[in-house]
Amino acid sequence: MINLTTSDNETFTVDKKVAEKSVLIKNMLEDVGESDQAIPLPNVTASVLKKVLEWCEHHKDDPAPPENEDKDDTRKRTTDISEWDQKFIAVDQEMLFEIILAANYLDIKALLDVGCKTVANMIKGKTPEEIRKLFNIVNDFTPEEEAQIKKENEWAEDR
Amino acid sequence: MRPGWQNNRGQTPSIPARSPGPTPRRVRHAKRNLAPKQPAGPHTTIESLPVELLQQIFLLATRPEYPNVPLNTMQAYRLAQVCRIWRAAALAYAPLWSRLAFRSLGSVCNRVLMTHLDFERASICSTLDVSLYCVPEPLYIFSDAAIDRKPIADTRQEQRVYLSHALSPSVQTRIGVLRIGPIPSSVLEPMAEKLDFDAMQGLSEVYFQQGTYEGNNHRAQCSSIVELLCAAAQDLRVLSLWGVILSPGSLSSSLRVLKIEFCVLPEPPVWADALSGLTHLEELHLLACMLPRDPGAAGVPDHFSIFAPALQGPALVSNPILLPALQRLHVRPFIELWDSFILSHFRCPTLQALHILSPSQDPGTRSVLPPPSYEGLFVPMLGQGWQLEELALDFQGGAKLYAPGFIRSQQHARRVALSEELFTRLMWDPLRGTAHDSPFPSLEELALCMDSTRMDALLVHKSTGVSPVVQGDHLPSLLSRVFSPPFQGRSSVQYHVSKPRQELNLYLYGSGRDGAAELHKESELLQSVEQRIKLLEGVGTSVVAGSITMYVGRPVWLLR
Repeated sequence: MINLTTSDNETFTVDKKVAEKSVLIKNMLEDVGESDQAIPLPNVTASVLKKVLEWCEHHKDDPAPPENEDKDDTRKRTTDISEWDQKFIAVDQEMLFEIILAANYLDIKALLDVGCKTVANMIKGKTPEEIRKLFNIVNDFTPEEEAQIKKENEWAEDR
Repeated sequence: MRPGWQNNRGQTPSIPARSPGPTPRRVRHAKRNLAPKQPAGPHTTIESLPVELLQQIFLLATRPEYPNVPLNTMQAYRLAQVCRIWRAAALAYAPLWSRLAFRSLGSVCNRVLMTHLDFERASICSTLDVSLYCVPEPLYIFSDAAIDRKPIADTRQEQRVYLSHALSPSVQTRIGVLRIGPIPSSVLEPMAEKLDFDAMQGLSEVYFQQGTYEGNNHRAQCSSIVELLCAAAQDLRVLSLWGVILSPGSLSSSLRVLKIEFCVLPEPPVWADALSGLTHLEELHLLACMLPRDPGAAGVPDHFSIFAPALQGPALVSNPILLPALQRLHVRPFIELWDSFILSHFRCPTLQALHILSPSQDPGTRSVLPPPSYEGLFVPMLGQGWQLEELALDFQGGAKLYAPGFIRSQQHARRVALSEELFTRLMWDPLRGTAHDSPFPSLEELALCMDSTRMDALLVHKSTGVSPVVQGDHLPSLLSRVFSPPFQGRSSVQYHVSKPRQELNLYLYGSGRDGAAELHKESELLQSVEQRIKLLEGVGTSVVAGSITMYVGRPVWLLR
């Protein structure tokens, strides 16, 4: 078993196989060897780590993805997400982005993919204004940039 | 994405490379990794994501649902109009702009200015993926003096100007992937003059999908362009051709993927020699091709006059064609030459996926030959000793094409597509009146090409004999709209779950549907008509529920 300590000082004891879904933790364990000391994860809070570990637990027996998975896997649609993962990632936006950041920091590629695909699916087919509204983004273009964008849109309009 | 990403909340050192054990330096490095950093902020938003992740999301948002479908460039434009950070991130990310799908006439208000903008955005890309095609000109069957020919001439002129602009030298030197679609002969000639084949040494993929020809000269012109492109490319990896007269010199030994459809092949011995040189070939699609009418003749054969050489097929090549790296083989019977010729002459020791397609799925290109015999088709397959991961035999072939020996020998199969008829024969023991076990213990995806008059699915768990989990009444009403004519009668598809915990994706689809429009239609239905069926919930203590997810439409691996 491995102990992991979060940024808010909560400690999780997890199965080594589950923890090693994170390449960061796996490499750390290989580098420092077995130890009773908890591994601090200063970029992850307890609530986020709990979700991440839930994902790792569910996927602990998954085979390692091939190196060139993105290029060659044409059996799935490009933004397919499994049913379990869809339910898992049905969280509020703040948690969604926390999971993505944690997956990136912990180097869990498959979880990062789930997070990025979810955000991509939210964006697909939306206008810039709809995207701004969805993510609460401020339109900070200068008048010159706005004019250029307007021109682009005029050229791109359907005939 | 590398671990140790640096975000705006703190720095994370990079992770040392893996090693068998700790060293003092590695321990120091690892301890640095454990140094405290700022925790995540209280309100994490999309703006907290580093640019690299944002760009990864952009790429996913603009990617098509399926491979080999053009990138959604308008979505990329929209992403660059959200805010300044997004605009900078999008414009700096080459993969969003490297695919130049030339805008068809009338698709946008000003395609010349939009094309300028496309090229401007693509100026950061070292290699380009370029699609060339024109809107076909209208056909006037009857000569009519009253027809105003000026718009036709204007369109023709605009196509020429547009292609001329699109094929500037700075574009040609950077083309890595070239996709040529329908181009009328009136535009083809000026386009061919613009093509600088010497500049295109970096071509790695060529797709030529003309679709139709105005005559033999047009076809010959296209074939000549393909030959020159293949000769120019120094490291050609993918070659996909439709309807050209194939020159053996076009087949480079660097090829990894070769797809030839409705092409006129060289004479069999020459063709066999050319194929034998493809030692790196991993994927081969031989779909409904033709042989030349007379040995050595370059003309287009008359399909109905060459029964004789076809029937002599197996004798046309004396030595087997060895393809040592081949993993996927897709065969649609040649117009004059059946699969048995290919299957009995090829040696593919590493084959993992075999798709045998029927010409009946494509009504316009029916074979002129009668169907092959069981011996002709399956005996050569058995002789290969293949253990396939993926097998597609989903055509309605009749009793003679039932090959239980071959299919049952494929015990490692993970993805299988069968006709409903074949599947029923495979699963049902008529003597005992009971069902066989599934012959595929590792099956993950089962695709059934349904008979057009029947439709019900019956999923049964083997160990308890629990009965119908889903029947026609429970199937979504959309099914009746998917398949035409609608399923009126009743049949049952039985699938017996033999492993304690098995998850299976079941796809049901109709025959004769591999056109692009249907593909799109079905892809929408795949999302909307998904049903999850639980098996055996709460039955006994030793049985873990298996589950089947049912889709309407073809799985993606059948759409290639």
